[in-house]
Amino acid sequence: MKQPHLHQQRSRVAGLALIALLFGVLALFSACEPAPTDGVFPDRQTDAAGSGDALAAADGVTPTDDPFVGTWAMATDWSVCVTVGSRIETRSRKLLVVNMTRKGHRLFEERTVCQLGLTPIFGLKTVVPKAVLDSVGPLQVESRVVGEGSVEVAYSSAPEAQLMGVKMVNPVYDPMPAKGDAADPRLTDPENDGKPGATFEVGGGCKLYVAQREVSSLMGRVVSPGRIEGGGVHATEQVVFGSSTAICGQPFATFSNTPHHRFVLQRLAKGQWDDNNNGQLDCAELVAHQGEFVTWRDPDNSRCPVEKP
Amino acid sequence: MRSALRLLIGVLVLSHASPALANFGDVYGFGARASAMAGTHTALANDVSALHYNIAGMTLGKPGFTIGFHSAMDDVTIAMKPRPQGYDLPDMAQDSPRIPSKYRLRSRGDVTDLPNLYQVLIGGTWSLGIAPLRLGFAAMLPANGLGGQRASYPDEREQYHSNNLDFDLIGRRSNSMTLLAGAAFALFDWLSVGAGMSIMPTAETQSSVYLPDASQQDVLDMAVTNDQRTQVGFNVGVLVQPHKNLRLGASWRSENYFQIKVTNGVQIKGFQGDATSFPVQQAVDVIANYTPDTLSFGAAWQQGTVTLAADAVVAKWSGYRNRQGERPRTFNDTVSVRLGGEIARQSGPTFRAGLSWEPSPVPPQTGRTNYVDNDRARLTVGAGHAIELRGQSFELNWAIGLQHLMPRDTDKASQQPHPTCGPGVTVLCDEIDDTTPDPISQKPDPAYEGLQTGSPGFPGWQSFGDLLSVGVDLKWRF
Repeated sequence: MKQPHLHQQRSRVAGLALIALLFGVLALFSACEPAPTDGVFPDRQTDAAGSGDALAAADGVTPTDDPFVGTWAMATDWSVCVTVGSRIETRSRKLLVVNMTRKGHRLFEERTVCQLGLTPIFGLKTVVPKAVLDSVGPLQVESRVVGEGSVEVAYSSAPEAQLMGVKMVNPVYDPMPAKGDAADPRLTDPENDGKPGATFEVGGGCKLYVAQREVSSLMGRVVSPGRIEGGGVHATEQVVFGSSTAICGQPFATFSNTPHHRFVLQRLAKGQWDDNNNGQLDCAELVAHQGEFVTWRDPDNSRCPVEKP
Repeated sequence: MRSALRLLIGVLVLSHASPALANFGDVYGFGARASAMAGTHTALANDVSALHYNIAGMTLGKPGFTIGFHSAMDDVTIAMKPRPQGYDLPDMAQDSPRIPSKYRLRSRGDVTDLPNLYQVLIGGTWSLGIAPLRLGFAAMLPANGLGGQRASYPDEREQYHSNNLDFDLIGRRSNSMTLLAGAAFALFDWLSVGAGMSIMPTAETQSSVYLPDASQQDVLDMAVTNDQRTQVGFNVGVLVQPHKNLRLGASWRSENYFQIKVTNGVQIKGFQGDATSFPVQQAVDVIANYTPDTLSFGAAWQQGTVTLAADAVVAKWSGYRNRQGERPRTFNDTVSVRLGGEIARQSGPTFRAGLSWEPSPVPPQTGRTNYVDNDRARLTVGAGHAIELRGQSFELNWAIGLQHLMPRDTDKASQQPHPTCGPGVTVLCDEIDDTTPDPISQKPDPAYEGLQTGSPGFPGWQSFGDLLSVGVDLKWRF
């Protein structure tokens, strides 16, 4: 085997020495990482400072005894006038479970629709199937309280939209599907019957295929600790895509009868009406106990003026 | 007469514009020989590397062609200090004056890696048969693409984007295309001059947007016009040999940068009656790869087979343009000191080594801005191997360089009170004015008392680490 010349050996040694020196310095430097330190800013109490997610309640109200935070039972009782030759009032009644939190003056509500009932028109009752109700899903609504600490504590909620048979990016403001446009991609089929939109049952024998939006906003006052009552504004938009029989698919002129809308919010104590002891208020429990917090108004055609208000 | 002719040619060369930009070269060295000597090349460069260090040096060497591959890796860290509680932008639902901190698209966190850089060097010098003349061209090109730019904000505005910090003067910035060209002329045996230029691409984009419904901003028509141009920086150099063993060099390089100008004209239905808002005009100016005006002085002493050299490089970082095109005027001018040596041997390789100190131009970031940069100490080694092949002279050079980022600990300074963020505010600022009223009571909302900031640099950070570079060039002298 040929031996390298002496100067070649020296060159290799010198080159290797240089590289070894470099990596030796690298190893030395790598040990120079500074010890972690904190900044000079101390933690602040977010409640006192009012920042972060744990905002304080109104002055003098601590989260533990906040009169709004918790579970509420809600009943809305909307008055709708229908023109069928004469003016007829029908009441649209809903029961909802509301879980409420707050940040300052703002209340954040998660509303779950448990029951929807319409009083009959000429004996024909409209039934909304449970699958359709379930499709409405929990609704996030922001409300306000004004005047805490005064005699009159007011309550108002932002517009809330309940969609049936249709989905929207902006449920309150997006346009409804056009009449007859059963191919609108926003239409849903919550009961999976293959018909466009939601299917309502009218009078027990007729099926009505619709896309429907109810928009409402509540305004009321605290009538007693844990109870809010009042009215509001309410509008229903409905697009009919067909019916199983022609008669129930006939459109009727309707209008919202604002002066006669009613709602009730009843705060529940921990465990109240929790019959199955699962730690929360279920829809079945709310329906069973509705008589303990709401008295539904019966329809009264005299409430519907001859002329549209 | 002959001297006068040389002087005339020299003046012509100096008056000839030439461009060059060298971001990778600025940080790691331009060419393997220079990289092995820590960039100590103002009085030593004699090939395409002279286009970067001192263009007059092209006259020192025979014409030739160079091709090389250079790479840089890192082990650097920006360690973010934990955010204390109580300084977030609060969630006040629709009344939130700013998007609350909880809705940031990206989380704030440590930076523990920079992109590896791979660059190809190609260039050459030519005499065109005129012995004292050299024309040169060099390109240092990213091997993995055509480079990258990132437009970030140096202050609290960045929370809505990356929500992180970034090294401002190393890393991605160095992964750019470098184009250099120029000419040099030896006026006398003892005096050479040269001039060159750096070329940077620029882009101007104009878009015309029609928004038929302001509430549906994902539905729009857009027509885009894009023009790509170049921006030129200049450099000049002079090389003097007052003694047979001594060479002195000086070089000046103008600032240059990659620029993207974007202008949008947005027509929104419903605004057509308002001449001030129709169309809405938007303008964005993005700057990347900024290199400052630089003045270099160098001296080299050759005694037998040993050459020692020293450089001082003055960089006018006070003119720095940040990535949004702003000139903060807060950076410091710097003086880098570089030392290099070379031992040429009768037979066998030529060994090289170098040291340098590269101070950071970034002042302490105790206020509103979050520029991240460190002083760097550099140690390099390398060698050159002469190769004869079919009667042609080749030289294979290699270099390994290590740069240590001197650890830097940054804490934002506490003020009493912190001013509200706005133009001209340089200290850490409050993003929500303390007097912002509650929409119902119209009294100042206590939720906004004190400092609220989402600045990614709050309350501070530590930056440290090492950069490692390797490079190899093959040079053909003809």
